[in-house]
Amino acid sequence: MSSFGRMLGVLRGGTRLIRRGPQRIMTRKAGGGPHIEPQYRQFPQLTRNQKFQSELISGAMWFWILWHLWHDPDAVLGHFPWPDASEWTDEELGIPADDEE
Amino acid sequence: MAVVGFRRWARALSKGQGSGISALFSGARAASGTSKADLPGAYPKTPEERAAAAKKYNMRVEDYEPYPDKGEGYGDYPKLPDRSQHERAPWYQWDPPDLRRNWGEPIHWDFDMYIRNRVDTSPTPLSWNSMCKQLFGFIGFMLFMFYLGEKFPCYQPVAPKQYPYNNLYLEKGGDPNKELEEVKNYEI
Amino acid sequence: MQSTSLMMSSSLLIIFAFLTTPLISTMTTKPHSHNWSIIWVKNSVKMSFMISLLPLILFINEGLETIITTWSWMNTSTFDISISFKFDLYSVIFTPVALYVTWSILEFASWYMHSDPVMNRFFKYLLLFLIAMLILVTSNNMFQLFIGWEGVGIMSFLLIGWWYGRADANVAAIQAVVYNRVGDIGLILFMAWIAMNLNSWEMNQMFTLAENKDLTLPLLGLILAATGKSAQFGLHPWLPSAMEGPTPVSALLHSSTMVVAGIFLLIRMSPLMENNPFILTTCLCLGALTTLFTAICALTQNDIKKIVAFSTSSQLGLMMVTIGLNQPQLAFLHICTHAFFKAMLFLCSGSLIHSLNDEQDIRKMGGMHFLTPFTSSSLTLGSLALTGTPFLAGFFSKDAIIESMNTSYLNAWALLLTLIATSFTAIYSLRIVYFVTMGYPRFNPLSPINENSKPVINPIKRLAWGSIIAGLIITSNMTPMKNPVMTMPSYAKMAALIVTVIGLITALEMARNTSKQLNIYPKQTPHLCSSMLGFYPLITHRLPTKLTLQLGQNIASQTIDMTWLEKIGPKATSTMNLPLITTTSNAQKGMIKAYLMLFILTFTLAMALLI
Repeated sequence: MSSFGRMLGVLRGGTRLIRRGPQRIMTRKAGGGPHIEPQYRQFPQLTRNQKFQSELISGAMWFWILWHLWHDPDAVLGHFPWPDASEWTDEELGIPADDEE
Repeated sequence: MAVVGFRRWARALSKGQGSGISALFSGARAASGTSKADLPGAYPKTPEERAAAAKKYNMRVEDYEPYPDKGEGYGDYPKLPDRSQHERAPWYQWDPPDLRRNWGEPIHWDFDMYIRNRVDTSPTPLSWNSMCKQLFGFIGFMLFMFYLGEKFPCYQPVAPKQYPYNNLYLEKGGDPNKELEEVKNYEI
Repeated sequence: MQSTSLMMSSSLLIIFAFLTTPLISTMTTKPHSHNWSIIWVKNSVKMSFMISLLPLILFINEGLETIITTWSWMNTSTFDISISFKFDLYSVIFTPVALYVTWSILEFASWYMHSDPVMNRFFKYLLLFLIAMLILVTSNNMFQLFIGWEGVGIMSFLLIGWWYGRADANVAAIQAVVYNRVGDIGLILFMAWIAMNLNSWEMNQMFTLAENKDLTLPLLGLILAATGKSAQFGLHPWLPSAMEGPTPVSALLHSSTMVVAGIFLLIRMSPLMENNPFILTTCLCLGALTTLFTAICALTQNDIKKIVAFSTSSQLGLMMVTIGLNQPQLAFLHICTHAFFKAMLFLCSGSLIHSLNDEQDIRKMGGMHFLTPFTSSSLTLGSLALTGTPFLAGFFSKDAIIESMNTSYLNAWALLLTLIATSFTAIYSLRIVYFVTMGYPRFNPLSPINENSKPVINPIKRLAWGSIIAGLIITSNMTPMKNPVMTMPSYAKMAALIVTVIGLITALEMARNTSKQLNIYPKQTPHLCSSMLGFYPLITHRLPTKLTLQLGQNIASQTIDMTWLEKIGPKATSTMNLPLITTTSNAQKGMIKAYLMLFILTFTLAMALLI
């Protein structure tokens, strides 16, 4: 029985060797997340969750920025215009014209 | 300490000389403080004495250079270069790696000053003078510019607020009976 | 009203009870399991955070100003000390922020420190540190504040020197403790002056009693204290050195909580400072110098943690500037928003360092955006928040600070320095992002790149959301104490954004040059000046140390030893005794003259006595 088990183990190991590729993610749960093999000169294995989270947070950030820029641009550009004294007319200020004596 | 005592004893026995025995006794007697054997010997005057002193400190005669004999109590202690332990190779297999020294290596007189969490003497890319000049020049320049900035401050020019009715004289609780001259806030 | 104040103090009591429970559970001799830190410490901090939201909601909802709870602690005939907690805007907002950040960092640490043999002790230290910080924040009494102040000081020493087998970590810990002690001299001066002249350490009484007094000397002490704790120019070198500690420690102590204690002290004491223009100008100039100097240092660092540390120091300088503008509330706002993104930046760098097999050099990273997408996104987010991108957390405080600088009457040079430092922020933040997440990988071919672990993703995610929305939430719930200037020229309003964009464009231009094959060498001297931290630590750590140690050696070991133990001791005895001995022995050489002389002498004496 034990020899049979060992043979099975060898077989399983062999298939693993054959099927092993950089893209494969083993779903063994150990230490919280999916188990990921360190890769030698290969692109690391990524999970979909990880990519989704990354895009979610970046998307949320840009949505937040743009949404507020659209609805609340005053916070960036200034709430009230700065009065430009040189554009005030004499009439507004109640200053009589120069020739009026 | 016991090991040291044993070694000295063994050496004394092997030499079979009076001085060895007396060294053993003095070492055994010194319950506290430095024993005579641990203190530096007399200042070496002849080349033979120098050689003996160098051998005592596990040094080569060429490297051995005692402190000048000015009666400061250095005796024959070798004057080692003022190099801190920072300068020693970090990847070498030192005997105690934390101290970066080997067993039996002569210890600098100020060894406690040159250990790795005190004075660092490793070479710098710039000379000490130019570094000092740059740093203190920078601080001095900043202080001067702060002084100037204090002389010429930066602000948005804003006039005090003007209100009607004599700058709200009555509303601010002024005396209603007193007649005040009308404040003129403008001039044409 | 009565019930509200009861709620406040009892919820604080519950928080402290939750936080001390794990500490008490360590007092048994039974060894704890490896999960102790996660089950007990992390969860107690998490629960405390939940509870601390209750006073916050009450506070905002009821529009309270201050609630003070006082118990008498010790009385002497002339001086009373009480246990006094203060619930005002600052403590009620800061407590949840600190707990939130700590919760995330503890969770991260349970992954980062996983292989540490004494991880439980590490968590205990972090917890003790947090308790000390909460004591500092909620205290209404100088003595109580001092306990918290020293508590964070000693915990930072223990945590920086966590890997005590390394000489560098030891040096960093010693530096931290020595620089902080210099600051403590200032705090003790302040407290002693207050106790002597005002006879009370209760803050409210201090503020009332000090109204017509000249407070320049004690306030200078206060600034010294803040300089030491918050790493302002002059006492700043310990902060970058403190990066020798584990990354969670850097994240918690040296970004978000402990280093802001100095600024927090000044915020608390701002009623004393606001009528003293000299002190305010000193704060302003000190802060401006710090923020520029440390930003310059950050420009050329290659260690990712060092860059983030220097940016912390630079932001602390900005907070100091805000204190100098007499806007303590804005400084507090910056503390709160800064806590989120700075802690997150540290956690991201910790995750990256771990993924790249303990590589901290940004030149040996690169391309991480494709390899660790979540960490890199968060790193970018944190950098954007730090530079003050509109509507992220940093914007609400940083932009408000620059705005109020532009509309205040202040030192022109300080304003200029702060603006330059703000544009430098963009440069070094872009530098991190550029070198870490963009380009091609430059790390070792075999790297255990993996960020798929709940204790990594969750804390960073939490802090990332905080960095996005915390600024708006805190700003909109804080009643400003001073009228904000609403109208200003648009160049003043946009100044922060403009200098940041200029910095960003410059940095992009320079970063583009690094990928080209141009033989551009930086001028050596200015580059060295920045990369060697302005030579400040080099000069201050070498010269005074050497001088004092050598002086001590010469005085104590040589001069005193030789004077007392040799010249005055044995040698003096022998030289003084020698003439006496020779005279005595010379008198006894069997000469008849001497005996006759003696006989006549004694006879004369006897006769003289008789007569």
